[in-house]
Amino acid sequence: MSGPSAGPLPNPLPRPDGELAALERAWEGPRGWRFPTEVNNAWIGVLYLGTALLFFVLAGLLALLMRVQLSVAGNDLIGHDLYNQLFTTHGTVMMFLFAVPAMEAMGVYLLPAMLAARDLPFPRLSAFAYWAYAIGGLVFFSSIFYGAAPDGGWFMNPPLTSKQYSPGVNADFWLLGIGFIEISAIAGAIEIIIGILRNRAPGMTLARMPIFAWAMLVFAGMIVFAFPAVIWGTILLELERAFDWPFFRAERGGDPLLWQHLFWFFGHPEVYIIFLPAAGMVSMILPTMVRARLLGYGLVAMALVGTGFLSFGLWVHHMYATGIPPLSLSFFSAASFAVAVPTGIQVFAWIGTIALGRPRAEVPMLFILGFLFIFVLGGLTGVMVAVVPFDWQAHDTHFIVAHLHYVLIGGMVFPLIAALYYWAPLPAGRPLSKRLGTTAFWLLFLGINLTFFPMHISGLMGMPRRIYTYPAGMGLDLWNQLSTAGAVIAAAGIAVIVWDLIRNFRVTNHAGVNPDGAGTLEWLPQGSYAARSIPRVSSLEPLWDDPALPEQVRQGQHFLPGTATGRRETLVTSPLEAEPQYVAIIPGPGWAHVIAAIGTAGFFLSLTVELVWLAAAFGAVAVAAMLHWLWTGTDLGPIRDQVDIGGGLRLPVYVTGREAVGQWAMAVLLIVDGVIFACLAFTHGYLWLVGGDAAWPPAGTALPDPAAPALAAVLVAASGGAMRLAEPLLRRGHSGLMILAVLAALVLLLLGLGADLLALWRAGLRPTAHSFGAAIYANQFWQGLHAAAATVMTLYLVARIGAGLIDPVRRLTFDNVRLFWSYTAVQALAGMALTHLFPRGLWA
Amino acid sequence: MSGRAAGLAPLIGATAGLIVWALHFGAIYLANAIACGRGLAGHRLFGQPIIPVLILAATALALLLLLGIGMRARRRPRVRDGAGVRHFLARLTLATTLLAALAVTWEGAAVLLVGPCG
Repeated sequence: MSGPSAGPLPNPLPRPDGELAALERAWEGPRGWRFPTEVNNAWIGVLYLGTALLFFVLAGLLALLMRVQLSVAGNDLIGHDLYNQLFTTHGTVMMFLFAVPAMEAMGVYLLPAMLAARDLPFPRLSAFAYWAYAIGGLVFFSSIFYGAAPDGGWFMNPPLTSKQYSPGVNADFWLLGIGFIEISAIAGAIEIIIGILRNRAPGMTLARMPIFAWAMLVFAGMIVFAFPAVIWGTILLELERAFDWPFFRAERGGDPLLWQHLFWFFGHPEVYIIFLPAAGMVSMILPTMVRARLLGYGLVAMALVGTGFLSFGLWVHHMYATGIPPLSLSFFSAASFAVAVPTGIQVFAWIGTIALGRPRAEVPMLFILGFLFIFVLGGLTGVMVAVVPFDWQAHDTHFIVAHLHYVLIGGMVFPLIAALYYWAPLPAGRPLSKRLGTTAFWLLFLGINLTFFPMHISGLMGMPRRIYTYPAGMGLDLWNQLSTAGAVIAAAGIAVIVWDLIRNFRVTNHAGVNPDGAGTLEWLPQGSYAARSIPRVSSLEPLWDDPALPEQVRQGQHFLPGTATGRRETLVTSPLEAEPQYVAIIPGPGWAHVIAAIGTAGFFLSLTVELVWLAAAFGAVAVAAMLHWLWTGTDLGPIRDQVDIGGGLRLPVYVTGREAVGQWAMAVLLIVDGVIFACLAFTHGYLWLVGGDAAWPPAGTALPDPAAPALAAVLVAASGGAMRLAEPLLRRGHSGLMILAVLAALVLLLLGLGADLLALWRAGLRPTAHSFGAAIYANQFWQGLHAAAATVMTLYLVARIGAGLIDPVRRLTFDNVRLFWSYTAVQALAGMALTHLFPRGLWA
Repeated sequence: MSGRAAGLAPLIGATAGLIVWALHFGAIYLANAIACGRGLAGHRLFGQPIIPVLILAATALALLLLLGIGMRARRRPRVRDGAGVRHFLARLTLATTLLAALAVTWEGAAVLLVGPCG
């Protein structure tokens, strides 16, 4: 395969005086106490990963406490109340505050460099996601010091977590505290999806994309489809706890299993959400470690995509013991076997790659070998528990604890540590210590196996999960003592890594350090602006195929060697072939995202402790900060005509319509929205199915006259029509009429939704009496949230029209509002159909 | 820039087989859940128990669709075009379709071994 620099280079030498200085000025980061204002993903990525590792250590300490408690039979060191909080917080923090954020951190840090992009398209969104996560996560963790940490298990099953059995604020800390961290994860996913699809270097087609980018694309896509289910579940459980809407209360037509379906529709894909990026990292590190190209690149990409899909057909394998019909269980059992196929393909690709090359005994390689050993063992016990009768035996025992830790530690923690040692020279300019890394590996490898292997045995002997002690004389003592000894050894391994980081890791701008001779673009010389110039890519390992490339890039001989507008920019390319389309101006440092993050975290955490007035104040601050950020940093218009990026390519700096990355972001957000609405519809369908035709709605339920919802539907449809009418007015430049049309659309929407709500209320339907009413008012709640968002967006749009910031060319804000509006109107109509036609309309 | 360059349809098309898998999985799960929940499992269709007939029919339909997707992908350009991306996506389509066919077969075959409602 030819190297990237075949043919004349886009920009000749010598480069103009001041070109590099201007680029450095545009990307110069804030210093000192203003450091939170930085939005550069290279900086945010390091902060993100550091914070995720902090949560890993904190949650690990909780695990150590649990192991100390279980080290001897009948131990009374930790009571059951605290033990419940320890395992719940341990699981929750590991899954929500360590594993997913750590992978998003690796994504936002590595992807710009790997794709040779200056940055991903929405750096302020990443920065907002990080600060919301960091602030909220630390406050959430601190709840354990006040005895207020959640204590219902990381999956929070009702009725245990319903108000009746968990009357304190512990469960609310989980529901509200973790709820907005899910929003943070979605924000990161939007950035990653669009960054991968639209910010690749020219020529980096989907067929030449680094396998890590494939993994992160699937990872982020899975977040988009999986997280809405748990968001909707948490909304329902919090509505039940706060307002007594009985979604999960069997005596009023609810069903606790509804929660399990929603939670595990998120929870099982979550395992692969964590594993796939780790697999992607292994596929990147291994070729360098063995000096051979990855075997079966295309099949590995297929395996990632295939796993992403199939993992959504596994959620019930966490519910084998809940009484679901046996044939239904068999579908999930079969899907659980099927998902082993793509994982097996990846494992064989790695083994084949090792066989093709010459492995080197470097620290990342050790951790990859450890990963293969531990993860394969975890995968095999996974196939065992996919067998329904076996799972009934092992369910809720320490066998499951062993299995899940083998999978998660083997499949995620070991690859992450390998990645830490492999990519540390990128931000630090020098590698971490080989001696300390090797020591850490052996301590961790031995410690993890010693901790969790005995749990298979104690589990099969009948030791249950989540029980704070056990009696002597049941043969469990030895296995627990071994597990505790292993945990101490593993903790020592983590301590060695932390010590290595403290001693040897300092963020700096390195000058082309590539200690392992890797072949991918993140090893190009990097500054705060990422690569000085952006090469055209023609192979999977450009640095192996063209050794002269790093120096050419450093000298600025490839595309966009400076700043075309004097601001921070990133090159936007087409999603399949990666052909350059435009130069997007991206935001620089500012306080808005930090204030918005504080406001968002404060809003949810204040609600947790029922300080509604404070929550309202925080919410207002968050919305104001976001509006400021939008007003000052987005939809800047064509501030320059086309700019020259080299090689005869002249590109616009502002586009609208289907090519604009802003429209892509809105489209992905609306997919998230649509999945939540699908979960809402599932809630109706599920409660109807378990309730029976006679009980859902229950006899005697008051329902509104059909005329009222019909009128409401007409008003909502008219609202959509009014917003459509605004578009030709914009094209013709009629600002005044456009404002009228937009405001009319808002009034019609609010009247339509209000009329529907009023009709239900006047008919006498109440959300607390039965799950039927609760589900209908949950629908109303969701439509109400959209009405509130539409109101803010409309007023913002009107303000921008009034300020002369919207015109026939500069219209990105209008296009996004219109897209959201179309979705909101369609969703409102679908919601009304659900309320008034299901199931009566279908079964009448 | 052309609409072709901006579109994502070919990438989504490469997952067509897996989308068929998802529809099949959802359909057979829903059918069995409704039949068991509403006491319809004892009904018969063409003289046979309704659930196995429906699930086997859905499985056959899904496999036919997958065959069609696979054959269409095989007809895609085998010679590498300019950037090779279409060729790559055609191979990706084939591989994901094969995986989907395996999963659909396994899931559908369960009805031959296990009773619907226990």
